[in-house]
Amino acid sequence: MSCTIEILRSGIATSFQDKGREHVQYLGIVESGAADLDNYNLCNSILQNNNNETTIEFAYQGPKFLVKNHKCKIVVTGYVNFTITRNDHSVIQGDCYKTYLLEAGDVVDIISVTNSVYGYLGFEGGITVKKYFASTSTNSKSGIGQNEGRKIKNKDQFLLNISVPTNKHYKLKQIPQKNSNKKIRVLEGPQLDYFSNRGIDHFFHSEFLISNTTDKMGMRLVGKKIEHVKSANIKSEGIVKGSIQIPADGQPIVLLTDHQTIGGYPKIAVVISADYNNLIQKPAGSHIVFKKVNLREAEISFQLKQASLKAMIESIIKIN
Amino acid sequence: MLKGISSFGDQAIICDFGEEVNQGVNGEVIALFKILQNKISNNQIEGIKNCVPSYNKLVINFDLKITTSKSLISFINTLTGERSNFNQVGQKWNLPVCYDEEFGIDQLQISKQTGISVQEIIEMHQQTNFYIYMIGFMPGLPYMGDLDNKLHVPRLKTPRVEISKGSVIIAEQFCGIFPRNSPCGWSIIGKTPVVFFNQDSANKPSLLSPGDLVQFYSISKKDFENFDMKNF
Repeated sequence: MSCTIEILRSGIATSFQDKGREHVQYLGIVESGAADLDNYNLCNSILQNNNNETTIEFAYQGPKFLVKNHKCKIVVTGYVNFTITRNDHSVIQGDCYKTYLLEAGDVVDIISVTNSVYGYLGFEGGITVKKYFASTSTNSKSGIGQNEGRKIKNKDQFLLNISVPTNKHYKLKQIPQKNSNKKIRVLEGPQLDYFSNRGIDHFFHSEFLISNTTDKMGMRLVGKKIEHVKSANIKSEGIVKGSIQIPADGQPIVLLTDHQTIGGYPKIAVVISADYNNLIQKPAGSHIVFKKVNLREAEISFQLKQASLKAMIESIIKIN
Repeated sequence: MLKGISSFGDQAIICDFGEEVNQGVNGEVIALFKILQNKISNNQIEGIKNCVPSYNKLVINFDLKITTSKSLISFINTLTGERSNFNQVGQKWNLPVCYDEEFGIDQLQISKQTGISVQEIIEMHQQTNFYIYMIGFMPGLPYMGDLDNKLHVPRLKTPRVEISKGSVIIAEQFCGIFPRNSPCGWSIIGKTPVVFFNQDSANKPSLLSPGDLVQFYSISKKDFENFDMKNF
């Protein structure tokens, strides 16, 4: 039998996530997947897992869980405070980006994130979760994923794919620096002509507050009203994550990882891929400004971002 | 006609087929969509993650680690010949609807707005040969057209917080079916017992696909209650 994990406290928006779904969006199925793909990738890389292994994603507060039997090895990534209470009642403060061996009776409490939103908990060998359309990602809004797509709740139990962890330990030497830059780079959106010059000026030259009504589907922003000159509706069309829609009230919504497949509001801009993780990790109450770049700059920034993730992964070292 | 292709963010492109919404324009969108789906499954093109057809656009989402918008745009421009030769008619469906007033809760309001009797509205709905422009908003939800001009009603001023699974809804020239309970701002004309989406069916999770044809037929409340998806 494999190691069993029991959830003592679910935390906020705690769910199984991998890289998400491809080739099914035309049936109305959301892409989903980990919101912060860099921290998701680091989680699996440090554990020496396959790169599409299931992790547990949480927002603001993570789960508290008990290792029911056997042993397992974990890693937590993100900017996260957590403790491990050993079965002899000793308590240690956990470090992110470092593996820990857990034994039956150990309890891990992922207390909170610091100045960020999403964190990831991974297990060596992965978690046993059923795949739907080649992915284990949970989308609770549309009921896709194991348990009809519901989030993880108190008293849930799940199994790990392996029962005997290896005796090797790893940590990331080059820890990712939290990006406190409030500048988010964007490309012009496909419906820029739907907005007044004043509206466009407001969008690119004023500050926006991230509202606390933000969730993984959309980040709602509050700022100067962005006026439409044409209609505030378009014929619904396919959308991508990072698209910035402006509905009739003139307040932007950035579509995030769990966005619906099609949308009917005009899009003023699209966040460049290189800045998406920085944006999605900004908690409610943060301020951001948008800076327009061209496609060439966006593509170069993406390559640089990939290279820095690769360098981080190469900095994983074996520890005792 | 494909009017232009432009980048949409740094990991997607958008193929624009013009401003009009009609079955001819959408047929071209679906043709390009199906040609690409075929190329993806035969590994003739790499890096595409999702193709999303809508009324008059096709959005193609790709992995910038594998390809770029520039190379995808030139690839699509080589498909002109294939697109003009493409000829595939969608699957035809006859779907049962119970128009009982218990389910069709907006029939009276639609009748007031259009000046057409409830009986006539129900008949016109069944006589319409619907075409599926796209599936979206939620898994398996079809956007179908076109309703007779006389039956066009605007969206509700205040959307309902939740309508039940199977609700058959109309707004403007369109008709839709909700595969699960959800908020909705369209008018409800009836309810179908058919299951439209099942994530456990890996091969065909959504009963309907873009480009399919649909006609509705009326069933009694008793038939609705006794309906068995296994015999459908």
